[in-house]
Amino acid sequence: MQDKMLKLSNGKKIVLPCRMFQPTDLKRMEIDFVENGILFNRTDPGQDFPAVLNKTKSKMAVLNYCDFSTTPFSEQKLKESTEKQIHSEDCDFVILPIFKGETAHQTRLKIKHAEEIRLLTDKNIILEIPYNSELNSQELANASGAFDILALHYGVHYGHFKQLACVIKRLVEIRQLPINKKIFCMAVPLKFAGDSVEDVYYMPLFGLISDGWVKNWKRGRGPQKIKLTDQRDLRCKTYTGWLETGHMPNEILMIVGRTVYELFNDPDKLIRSEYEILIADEILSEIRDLNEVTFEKYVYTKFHAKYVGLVIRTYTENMIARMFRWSEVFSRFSAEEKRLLESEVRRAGTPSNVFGLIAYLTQCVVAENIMSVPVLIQKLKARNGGPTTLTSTNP
Amino acid sequence: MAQILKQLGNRERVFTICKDYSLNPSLLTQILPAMARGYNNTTIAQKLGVHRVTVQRYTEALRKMKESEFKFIFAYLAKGVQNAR
Repeated sequence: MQDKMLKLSNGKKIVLPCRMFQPTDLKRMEIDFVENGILFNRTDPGQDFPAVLNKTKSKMAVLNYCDFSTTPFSEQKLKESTEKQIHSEDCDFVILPIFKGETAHQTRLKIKHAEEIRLLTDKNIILEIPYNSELNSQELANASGAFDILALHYGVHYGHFKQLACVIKRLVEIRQLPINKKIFCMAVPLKFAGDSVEDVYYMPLFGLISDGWVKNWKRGRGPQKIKLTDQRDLRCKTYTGWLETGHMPNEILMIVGRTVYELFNDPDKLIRSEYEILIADEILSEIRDLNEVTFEKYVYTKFHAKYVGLVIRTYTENMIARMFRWSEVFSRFSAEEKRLLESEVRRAGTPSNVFGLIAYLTQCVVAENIMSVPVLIQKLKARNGGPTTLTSTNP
Repeated sequence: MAQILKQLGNRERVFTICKDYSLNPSLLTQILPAMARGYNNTTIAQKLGVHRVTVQRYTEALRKMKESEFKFIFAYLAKGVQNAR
């Protein structure tokens, strides 16, 4: 996906889609900051936020997150939390976090509170809602003036198809609304179940479908058997699984400079945990480097088949929203004209074809200055391999 | 046609070299320009948001590479950047 910049109200810039790093992530990576990234500085209710280094603050946007996910809703606690964030010089956002078992009514109260604090601060406001919130998307659209970024809270350490489909449904629904808001996914898993719970896939897909994400901070039980991610097929397999998929016991894994056998039989787990951190780097960079043309092949070959359709569809929706619906180039067209053009673009099907068609459309409008919608549709049809003349639907 | 085949051949060779040294071409594409600018491993890691040890592994692999291989990869990536512009 092409990088985009999000400029915050205080002038800091963030490269999107962005992974939010926790202080422990930075420590493990042996660096103090990630340029133009977000620091996810979490704390529990009633505790102070961990101190942030000045050099980290200067290079990253800081999100101070008070974790109320195990606390029942309380307006008082919400107000105290937001007030702290408004007056703090250490954070660049004001987030209204989710509470335990948050209902639609409670989210409405949060929105009302966000409207109030909008008048008190210039900081970017993030509204966090549960991924399965019963709040109507249209209600969110109506209240969109109250927040700048919408965050969907996933909150699991191991993903399943059904939940992900629910998250994606909400994500696509919001993308379809006439509001141009960035969407973050919070507390997301990186591993998903394939054919069964035992069949684990390492699929950090949130960089492809949302504008920002943070890994779930709560730790799961972990697998009972030792499993490691294989970069070839992104599957987390046992030692036997590695051998079954063509690896040899004496094969050296250059990432850690150890053999497959040594890695699985490491008694103090240190090399294995280092391997997992380094392999995550490789996979995340690979995914970050994907573009509209290379994305599809990667997803088809690496992700589990049942997730492919969901991911491709969401990626295409994001692309249409970013390159067409909210693009300056097409702002001269009316909503109805845009709808007609969009339905023609959608016929292209695959992400690379949609990308090609939007690029062609942009060229027609910018370089050739064609503003007639019937002409543009005709051109799109010709490009798409369909009939080139406008035909009536009547027999 | 001949030019396309040549480009494909070059791409194939870059991928083979990367495979020999267990390098990820997409990460290499990001690390090499930063390295050429003279940044140290920590700065590159901070710019790309990756582990410092990952950058170290890439820079060490690039140092160990045969000169012909390094020159080939560098020229290939430089050309890619030019085309992108």
